[in-house]
Amino acid sequence: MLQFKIILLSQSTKEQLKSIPSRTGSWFRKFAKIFFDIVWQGIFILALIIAAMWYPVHWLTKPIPTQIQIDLLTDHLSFRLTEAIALNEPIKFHEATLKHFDTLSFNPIEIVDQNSSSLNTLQIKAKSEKSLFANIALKTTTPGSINFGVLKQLNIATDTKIVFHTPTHKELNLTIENTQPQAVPQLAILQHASPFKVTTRYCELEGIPLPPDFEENEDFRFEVKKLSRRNPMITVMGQPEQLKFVLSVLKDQVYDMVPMGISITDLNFSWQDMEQGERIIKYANIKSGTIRYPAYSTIAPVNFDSSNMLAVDKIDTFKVEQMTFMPDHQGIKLRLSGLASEPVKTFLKVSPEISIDRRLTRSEVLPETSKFYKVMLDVILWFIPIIIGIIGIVAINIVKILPSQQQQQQSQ
Amino acid sequence: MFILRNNNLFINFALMMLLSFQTALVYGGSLDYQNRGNRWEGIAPNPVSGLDIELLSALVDYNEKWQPLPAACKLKFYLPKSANVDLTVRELRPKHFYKMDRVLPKSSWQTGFNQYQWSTGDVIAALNLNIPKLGVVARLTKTPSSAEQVAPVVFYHSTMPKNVGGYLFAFKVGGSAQLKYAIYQGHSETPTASGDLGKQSVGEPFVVYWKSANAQEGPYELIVDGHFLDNFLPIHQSVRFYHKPSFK
Repeated sequence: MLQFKIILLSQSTKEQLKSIPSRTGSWFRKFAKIFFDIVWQGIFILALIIAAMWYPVHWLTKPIPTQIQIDLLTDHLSFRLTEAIALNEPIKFHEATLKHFDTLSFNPIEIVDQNSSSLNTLQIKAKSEKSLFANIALKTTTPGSINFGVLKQLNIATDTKIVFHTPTHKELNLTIENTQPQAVPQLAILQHASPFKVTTRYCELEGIPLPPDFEENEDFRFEVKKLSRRNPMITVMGQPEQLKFVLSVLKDQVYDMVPMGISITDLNFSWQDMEQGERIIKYANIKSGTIRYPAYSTIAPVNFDSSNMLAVDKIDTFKVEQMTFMPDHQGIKLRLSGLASEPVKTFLKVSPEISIDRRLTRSEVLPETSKFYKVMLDVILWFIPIIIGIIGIVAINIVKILPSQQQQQQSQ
Repeated sequence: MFILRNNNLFINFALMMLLSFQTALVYGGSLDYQNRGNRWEGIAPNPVSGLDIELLSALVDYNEKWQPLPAACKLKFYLPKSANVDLTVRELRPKHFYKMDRVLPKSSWQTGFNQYQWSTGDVIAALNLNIPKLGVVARLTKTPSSAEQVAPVVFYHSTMPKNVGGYLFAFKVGGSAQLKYAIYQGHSETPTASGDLGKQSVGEPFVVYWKSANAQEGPYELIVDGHFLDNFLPIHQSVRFYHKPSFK
């Protein structure tokens, strides 16, 4: 607006200024001096205001430890336990593939497809030199709603990392990793009330002789018609550092995975994978997610979808309120709550370098705390710059007037 | 129907709590579950076990008249070898939430027959408990689990039986279930006795009775198995015990 007036002024007085060259130079110099004075004074006052408001604004907008609740549905997550737990609820499956196990033992009553030398206890042991590749698959012979196997018990030690991954609606990958030097092998109990087929690879079997022409890299198959009624459990002992289950699950129910209220740490929704010899970071598909602020009901929750990713730096003070495996939704429903002292960030998967810390700031929290703080904050934010501006103008004028007054006093 | 059943459960629970509260008001804190010298005894809420199936009682089949109320209740059990024993007495159907456990015997439990008695005057008389409806377990394993080891107990007050005629094992399930049982001797896979327990309702105690008159002395295992009616998840409970036919 000011610029527009100046342009108009110069256009309307153009002719007059041309006809009075000596006066024009004087007017222009005066105008330029005033304009320059206004500009440098403005810049000075602005700098003063920025300098004075820098720390208060920073203090008000810096994220602070915030009580938050995170709800999400994801197809992948990993975390570390801070206490020993057992699997909360048995998981029904039609097929279970075990990897990184040490031994699997059970007491069959009737076996078909192979000649068994002893039916007391059958032990399948991973070949030590091939333990990384050894696997066992247990498959229900006639899968149905009443014929299935059950992962009945899984004891997980403190400081163990658990990885849940659901690549399809029917599949749950459950990996337990413990890198502690004194790691104890994980124990799992399976149960099969109906006949099931067993396929092993790179395993040693005690109780069933292998055929004479059996090649090491072949699958060895047999069917268990019936387990001992006295002991129908299939006991699995994992490798000390790892045990992995790939379960083909029944979709007829949901499963609470861990006890409510347990503390977890190192929550992660990404993992590293090898593709064409290169390590790449893969992200979970977080189908829906919400960050709520239970202490401040009027602050709108933050919603994010599958294009976003959540990164939680440290969640030592977080507790799991719900961790439910939902085969129908191909994911795990997670509810966490606690005090977020470290950043809780969301970012777009396509640009992970640009993230937003979703913790609250004082400027959001203080107005929610009381009406007084809300009004006071508004007053302070509006009045401080105005007062600083006025002080700046007065100070500049005093500085300008002071030398001329001193000159007058000296001349008198 | 489900809501109605839950309402009934809630009303029953509320009435029980009211009754317990009323008793506690009358007798002050003297009936509270507390240390009574050689045992802990009193009114204590039963925490939910979370087990599929829970063993409530493992008794030798023996009946005495409990009216008039005797001065003491007595327990006797046989240990084939010395072991730590966790004795628990509680109501099969919680009404007063009576519990007696954490027993300290005069001397440690020995191989052979062991006996323990406690006064009925402290709590049982005040609560007017129906003693035949108490469950007793002498557990040789540390905590209740799906694989229990117990010493069946004779629960009496004056005269001991000479022989064991049978055993009574009481259980309750965490959800409605279809169950059956089998009893095995030693390491045999062929059951000595078996039977169908039919459908059992959640929280309702049921009893497996084994007539052991002709059974040989030795270790036995009771298996109660089946499945839950709602999700067909398998149930399996093992109770190992030593059968001593005679108390001589």
